[in-house]
Amino acid sequence: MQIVKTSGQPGSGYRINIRGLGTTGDASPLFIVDGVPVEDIEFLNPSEIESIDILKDAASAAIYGSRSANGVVLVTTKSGKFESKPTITYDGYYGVQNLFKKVPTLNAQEYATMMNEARMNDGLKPFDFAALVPDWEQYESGDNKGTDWLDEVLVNDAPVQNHAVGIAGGTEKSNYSLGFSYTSQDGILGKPVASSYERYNVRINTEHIIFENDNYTILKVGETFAYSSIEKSGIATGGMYSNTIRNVLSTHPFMPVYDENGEFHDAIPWDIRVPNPVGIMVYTQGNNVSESNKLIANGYVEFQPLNGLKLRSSFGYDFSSGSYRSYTPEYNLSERHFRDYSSTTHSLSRGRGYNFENTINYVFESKSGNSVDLLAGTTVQKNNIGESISGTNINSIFDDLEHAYLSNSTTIDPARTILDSYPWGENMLLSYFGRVNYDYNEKYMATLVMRADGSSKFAEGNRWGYFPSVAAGWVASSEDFLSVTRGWLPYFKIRASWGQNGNQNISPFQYLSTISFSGADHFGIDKKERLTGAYPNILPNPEVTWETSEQLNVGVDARILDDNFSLNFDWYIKTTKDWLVAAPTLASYGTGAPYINGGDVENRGFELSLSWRDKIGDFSYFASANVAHNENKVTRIDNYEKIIHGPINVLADLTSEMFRAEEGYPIGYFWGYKTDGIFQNEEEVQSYVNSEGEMIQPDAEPGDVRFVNTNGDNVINDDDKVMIGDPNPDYTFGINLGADYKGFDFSISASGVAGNQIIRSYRDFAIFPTHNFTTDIFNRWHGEGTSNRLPKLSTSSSKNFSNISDLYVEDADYLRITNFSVGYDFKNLIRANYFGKLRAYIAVQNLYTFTEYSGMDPEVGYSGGTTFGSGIDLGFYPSPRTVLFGVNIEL
Amino acid sequence: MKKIIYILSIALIVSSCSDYLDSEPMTSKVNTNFYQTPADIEESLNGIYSLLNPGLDPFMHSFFVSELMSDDRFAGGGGVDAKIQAIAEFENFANDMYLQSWEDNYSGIFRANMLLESLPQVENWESEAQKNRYKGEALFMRAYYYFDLARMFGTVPLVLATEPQNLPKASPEELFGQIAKDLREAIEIMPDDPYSPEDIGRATKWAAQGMMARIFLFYTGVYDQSTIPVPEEEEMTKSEVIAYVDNCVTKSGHELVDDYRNLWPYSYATEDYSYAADNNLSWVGEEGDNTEAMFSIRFGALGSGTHNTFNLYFGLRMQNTYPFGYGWGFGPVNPQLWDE
Repeated sequence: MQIVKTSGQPGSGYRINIRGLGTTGDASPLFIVDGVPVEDIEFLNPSEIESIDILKDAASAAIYGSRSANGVVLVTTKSGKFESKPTITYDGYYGVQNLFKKVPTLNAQEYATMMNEARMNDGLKPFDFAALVPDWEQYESGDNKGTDWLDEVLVNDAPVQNHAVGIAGGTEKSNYSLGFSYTSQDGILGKPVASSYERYNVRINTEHIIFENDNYTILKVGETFAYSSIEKSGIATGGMYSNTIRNVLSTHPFMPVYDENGEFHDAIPWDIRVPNPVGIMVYTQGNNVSESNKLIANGYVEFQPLNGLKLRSSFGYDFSSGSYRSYTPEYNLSERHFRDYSSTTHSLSRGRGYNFENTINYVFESKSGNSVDLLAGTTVQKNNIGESISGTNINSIFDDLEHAYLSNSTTIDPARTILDSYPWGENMLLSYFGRVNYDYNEKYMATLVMRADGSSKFAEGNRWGYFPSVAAGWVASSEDFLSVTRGWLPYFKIRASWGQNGNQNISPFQYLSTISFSGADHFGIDKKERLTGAYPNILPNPEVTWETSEQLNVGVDARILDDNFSLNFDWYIKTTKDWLVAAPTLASYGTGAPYINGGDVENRGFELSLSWRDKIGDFSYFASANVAHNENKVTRIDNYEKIIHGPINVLADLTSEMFRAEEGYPIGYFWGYKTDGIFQNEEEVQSYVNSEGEMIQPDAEPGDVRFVNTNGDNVINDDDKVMIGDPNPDYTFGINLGADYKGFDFSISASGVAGNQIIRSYRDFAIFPTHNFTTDIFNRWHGEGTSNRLPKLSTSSSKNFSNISDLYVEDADYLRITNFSVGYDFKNLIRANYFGKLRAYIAVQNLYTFTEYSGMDPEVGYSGGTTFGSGIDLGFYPSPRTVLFGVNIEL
Repeated sequence: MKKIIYILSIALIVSSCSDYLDSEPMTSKVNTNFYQTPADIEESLNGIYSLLNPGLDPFMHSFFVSELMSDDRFAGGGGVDAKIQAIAEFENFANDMYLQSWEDNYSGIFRANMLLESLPQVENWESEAQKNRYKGEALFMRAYYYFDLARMFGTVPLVLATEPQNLPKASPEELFGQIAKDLREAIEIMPDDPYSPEDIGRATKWAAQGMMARIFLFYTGVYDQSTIPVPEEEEMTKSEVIAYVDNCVTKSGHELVDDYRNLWPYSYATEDYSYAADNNLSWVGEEGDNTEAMFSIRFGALGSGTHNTFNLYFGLRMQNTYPFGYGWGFGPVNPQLWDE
């Protein structure tokens, strides 16, 4: 399983994929919180979570069949216990966060040297800096090192805090668990409009026995209720445009932040196109606030008329609402970066969904050890019942975010007033399922699941998907003939499963043909009056149906040496079948291609986890490690080229496609030129020939990149592009160590990945030659023998830089110490017996990252604006290093 | 317990209602909720006509290509226009060099097929005549685009349904038979009454009759035939075509203007343009007095590809020669054409 933060900004989400990417569409797993399917679990406070189960193999996920093709994350929140005395807990911490690694950019002197070197390489005179850069003499003399823009937006010791109170207990007939919590986190970047995040959570879980007899419970009811309210604001991150981090890393150091009046400094003649990045951030990216509220409630009734026969009905409901406001003032940062009007945006949305599940379950046990558990049920689910409305207007009578409401704009401007409202698009699912569990003396076990799911995403006739699965297990250690090994191998189980799960996470209405009203205008007598033309812009595909993920899993569980040592091993092959891809079309079809179920993706790998736990007197300790290997490969794309293209212009303006999905390769692999060093001299250029003796790069000069001519012809072009990197890790791993001794505790955890690459650039090298460099540029070629990797500099966009090549690709292996904590439970010192726990601790999150990767954070979650790209660093908001002090109190 | 089972079975029954899974897009029109009213049909007709305008790249259009390939014009242009000069030399400059023309014509055919397939579901026609007129226009345009393809590429696959099909090339008889069939039906059902001035340029019964005559000449001449076999109908004979032409001449009101030079707007600039003044020329305009235009490609004046870029390409190269437009100088006329 790979978990990557989409950004280090507070409150940003995660990309989670279980056992590799199976689709270029949405590959996130299905999240179920207390029986209610939700989009993600970021609204929960970790202190409320009792357990998280990740269902990876087909058979265990099968009962959640619809939408479980990418795995299932099952979250159970804390609940009380019957007949337990009330406990009150408080968990709180306060901490400070800092950037743990800075990317070094050039200072003014270094930058000026590089810019002039580029001029000289092109045979031009050095720059007349004095005419282009205000106060040049200060830079020339070295008194002023120029602006380090990253420093300017850096927040030191950004606070983070969390307070959670829980109350739980139970009587003979009822139990309850209540939780209240507050979290806040400030961002480490974006000063003076740094991101912030605040969240309140309330949870109420109860369960009541209504009738029971001496032997069993007859009627039980319960509910879970979770509410969260989040307010956050943030700066722009992610892509090439509108990305504060990229802007601060690429803006030249010649511009001061503020002018003599304390205003943001205007762009300078050196490059009038490059505005003050702090000014742009404050004016256009930093004034926003969003609020979201979410309610998840689930009620259930469990009726047991006979011992072992249970009827259960549960109804889950989720409601969410959100608002977003932003304000952009009038500003003027250069003759090209100004706005002569202010603008206010306000949007609101709300949505809901429900999930109604009814099951009947019968458990039968015979005296001879046979046990059968039968389950049948149905689920009715409807979600995404929602709508959004938003408006933008100009020239508010107030000049701040606080008053950013549309009523404060008094005029309507036809070109700039924007109104929009739309429904989210409901999604219905109807499912029937059955399961048989068989168990013989806990020695032999088998499970059979069959389910049928109908989805509204597809046309009538293709709505239903049928997903079977089987699983079997054998506890070999329970066999008499293995009793001899029981001394050192108390438990040994072999399991195997096969099954199919469905994925319907695609855009709806692929079976219809949408009518376009643009680009087809006709004219009558009035040459200035458009007569709107309409046409179907896509061929409908009524056949479109479920993507299916089929998985074979074989595993072993063992406990060795008095149960101290345990081992789990799984091997799997997961194949996504009928993956939705754009169909091959003929031009004679006359319109756009439909989506068809036309691709297969294979993920295969293994997962191994080992743990050791022991106690020596008062000293107990544990150690665990896990490693997972996954190999991702597209095995079929049913279009003419066998390729799904990524977009162009991702790494920088005017760059070609750099990642794609293609038959025979991993999803999202980096596609570009391989390089083979630098031409050191003219002779090397001359001798770079193909087998015919033809020169391959006749226009090259010493200092230019030697691109590998993979196909043997006499030219470097797209046909020479190959896989230059793979953003999908081969291995993910984790290590946990911990110990406690007489109230002291210590733990450390680490995680990492290996075998993947990141493609990185902060410069827009083709259009903005004045963008700053990181200090790796010191290793450029500047004369024979000076470098065999980075080419010589140039003022124009040379192929050396504008070609997507392995020069931008770096290994992204890392091992990160994610958490280190030491604590002491003061309960031992205080005689009062009403404390269950009185622990104080100090923890450091993100303590250290071992990596060769030169960017700020190797855990890069930007996806190039697609659902299937990854490992693209265009200036990424890094995760902070946090030092925390916290307490856990239990009464 | 009975009660619970009762509730559960209700739940199961409710669950099995299949229309629970029905949904409809709320913010875009789709093929199932479009093509419902005459207005929808009018918009889809606009979509069919709009493809007559090749936009910013007219040099792949059959008109441009045939002009350059003919002996009437040279390639012209400048030193960087090898692509266009290749057309005049009958050379390939790229794979799929005429793809755009192929695509545009087949897009027009797809849109016409879609309209024709959808007509039965349209309600609230103002009159049967309205329905027939729109149907006739779509049939005319399908025939027009196929004829354009036939002139560019010879015979081509004959696609008559929106369902994707990978078809082989049709035979000339099949292709022209279908064109004749579509035009014959258009002629039969389209009204005799003139359209309103707003509908200038659109296909009429008279345009269909004229087009039929032109296509008849093309087919019988190129393929050395005396009639066009029409599928499931009587063949198209010379006498039938003559009857169409006669009908058009007597009934349509179309005739040649007195001086052909009055067809073009530059002659309107009599005061500034001595040639027009000396010859007493006066532009007839686009409507009313212009009795010669039976069917025309309509352009807009809103820029970005709505305007007539043939003029720009064929205009005098980089010269300010008012009242003629500034142009790129493609297709300079062969002096022979003038001399002859």
